[in-house]
Amino acid sequence: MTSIGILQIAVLFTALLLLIKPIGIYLYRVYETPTPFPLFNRLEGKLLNWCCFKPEQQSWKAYLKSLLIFNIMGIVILFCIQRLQHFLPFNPESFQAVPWALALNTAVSFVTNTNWQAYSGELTMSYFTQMVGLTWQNFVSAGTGMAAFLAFSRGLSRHATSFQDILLGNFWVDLLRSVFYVFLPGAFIIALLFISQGVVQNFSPTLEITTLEGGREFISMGPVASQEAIKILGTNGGGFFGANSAHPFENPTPFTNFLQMLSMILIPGSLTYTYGKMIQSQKQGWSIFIAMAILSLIGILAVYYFESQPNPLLHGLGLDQTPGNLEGKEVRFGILGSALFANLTTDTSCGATNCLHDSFTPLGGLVLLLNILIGELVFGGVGVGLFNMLLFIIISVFMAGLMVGRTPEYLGKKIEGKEVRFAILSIAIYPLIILVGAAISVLSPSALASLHNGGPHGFSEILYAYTSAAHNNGSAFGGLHANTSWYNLSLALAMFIGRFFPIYLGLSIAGLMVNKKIIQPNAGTFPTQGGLFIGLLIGVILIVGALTFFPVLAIGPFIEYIDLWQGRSF
Amino acid sequence: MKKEFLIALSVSLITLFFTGVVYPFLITQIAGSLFPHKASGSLIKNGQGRVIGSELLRQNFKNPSYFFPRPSAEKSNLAPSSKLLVTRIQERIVEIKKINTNPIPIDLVTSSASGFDPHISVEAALWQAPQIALYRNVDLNRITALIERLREDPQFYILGESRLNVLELNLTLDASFGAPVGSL
Repeated sequence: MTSIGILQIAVLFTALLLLIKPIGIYLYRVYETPTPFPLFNRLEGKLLNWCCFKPEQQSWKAYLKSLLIFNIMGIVILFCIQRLQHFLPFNPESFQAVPWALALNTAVSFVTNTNWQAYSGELTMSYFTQMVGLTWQNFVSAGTGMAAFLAFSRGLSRHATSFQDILLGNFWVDLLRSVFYVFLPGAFIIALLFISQGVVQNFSPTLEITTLEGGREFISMGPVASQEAIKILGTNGGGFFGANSAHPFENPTPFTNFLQMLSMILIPGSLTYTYGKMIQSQKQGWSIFIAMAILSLIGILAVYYFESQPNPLLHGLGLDQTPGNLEGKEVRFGILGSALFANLTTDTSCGATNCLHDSFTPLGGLVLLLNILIGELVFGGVGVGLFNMLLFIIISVFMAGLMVGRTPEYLGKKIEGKEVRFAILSIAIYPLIILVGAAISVLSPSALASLHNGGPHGFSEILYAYTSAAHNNGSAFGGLHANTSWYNLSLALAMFIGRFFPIYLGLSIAGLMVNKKIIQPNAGTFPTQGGLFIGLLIGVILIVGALTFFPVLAIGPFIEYIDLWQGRSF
Repeated sequence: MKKEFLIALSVSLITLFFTGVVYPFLITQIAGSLFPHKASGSLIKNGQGRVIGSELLRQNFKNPSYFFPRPSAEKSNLAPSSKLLVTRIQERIVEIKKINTNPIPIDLVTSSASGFDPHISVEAALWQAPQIALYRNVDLNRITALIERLREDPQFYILGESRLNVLELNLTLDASFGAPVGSL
């Protein structure tokens, strides 16, 4: 660990702090005012006309129905594009149709904002598929995440009366505004900044060159920057190339690396401010942000420390291991630029990688796993991060209520049995998907054949795969050969349930909450702001979110750590 | 239900058209006029106008008169506890430890994440300098001066690490001291 490394962390968080308020206000204006920009008002009207609908308020059931229909249609369209790519234009490498299991996995993966990739883009996908199929879903899956959050938070914050119980907003309006007012302009600016640093953007075929020494090498090309920008801003994470953000054509300089990390947490961080405005209490918004920042910083410092350690198996070989564990990391980013990126990409549901998580030290990798396992609510994915955080807030308020022995309330609304059951269920579904998926894989010889590393680390590879899929992260312990029918199908199922089941539960809580009477706060009300609340929230996240997984983490990373320091290798 | 289906279809097609077609083509157009060199891969051409590489991508160097980059262009994904990792590193040490007996900087024996890492650390370049000086038959000081001149410091003073681009180093070596015997 170096002082310049710590300084880079400070610069990143300062930049984030400066941007939260302006972006947060902008987002509030986009979503919570009837006509956000008078200039674009007519344009929006035309757009809605084309799409043949009137922007009427929807009940939670109607909102959810629209969301599900749109997403399932997205899976179908994306699947078809991949299966038909050899008939479609912009395919200079003449790639064949994507095999059906992989195509299904990829379709579910990009629609659920996971962007798990069992393929290398430059060897599998035509430019048409990348651009029209995958880039498109990068935008709208991020929009879906925002919509889910908006409906949920409106259910909590709006004060509906009994005759108006359809007040969660309109899914289509929320989606279109996300795409046209938030992600398109943002991605446009970021893409141009990326290109100015060296990210490629062209339609040239792969270039074959003769090197200085006379060897032959291939240079992959493509419309990379346009996809890269939304990949990061929408916390998608699916790379144009197999090497993702480690590839110099996706992430050429330390500045693009910084920009990627900032863009990843920008919208999820700013949403805490937007939420503060929605519930008319900035203090509560900031309290949520502080809880996130504390959890994030703990993780960052831990990963940075562990990755700065030398590998004990390499002692006595005559190596200078001063920088730390550089296996699977790029020189231009160094340990800090890799550790920070890895931590933020697992804090959020982004899952883009600029280093090989598989080659991390056992405890460094453990922190990454934990970040995902606690629910990706440290900033989290666009929209869904704060969505998950709100579920944990409901549980925290319930726990506080248990301690003092009275009915808990949040934002002046009583939280009753049904809401708490739904919130707990949305968290308990993950151990079910992850542990069952990993257990079946461990028992099946054909699934074990996909392992790249042996010993406890091999187990971690499988555990990471199901964790990443269920929580819609998309990063991987990349050694695992996941392009098999078993992994493609089981992980696709994990991604689908992990995405839509909690959205269903969250929206039904919103439906229950929107009609409740407002109670004036009194001496017995637990304040959902300030130090005490932040402490309780962090405690609940760590205990409820992570405790279930301690046994599996002991079998994987912990044993690997002990073995490594005793000099055992596999 | 049928109405919802139609709305979903039209919203899909409209967003697909704007984000999947208009946006990438617009970016490509603007990139082509503002940053033509960067958008097409930061390619380097030789005197005859033939592309010999990209400023951003690693290429292989085996000739001992050239600086060599980090190992093979393949993603290793090996865990720290992997036997194969230790074996690979031991083989690599035997391969490169010929001239200089000082401790080898770790980046020279470990694979990068992309396999395309164009850089080595400043320590790694300095470690290789005696070999270059020997094979090119020039004074060591001239090589270290060259390394000092070409080193890239952290961007804006704080971002990233100090580093050297291996292809750029070797092109400058050729420009300063002539191409080595037996190369193109």
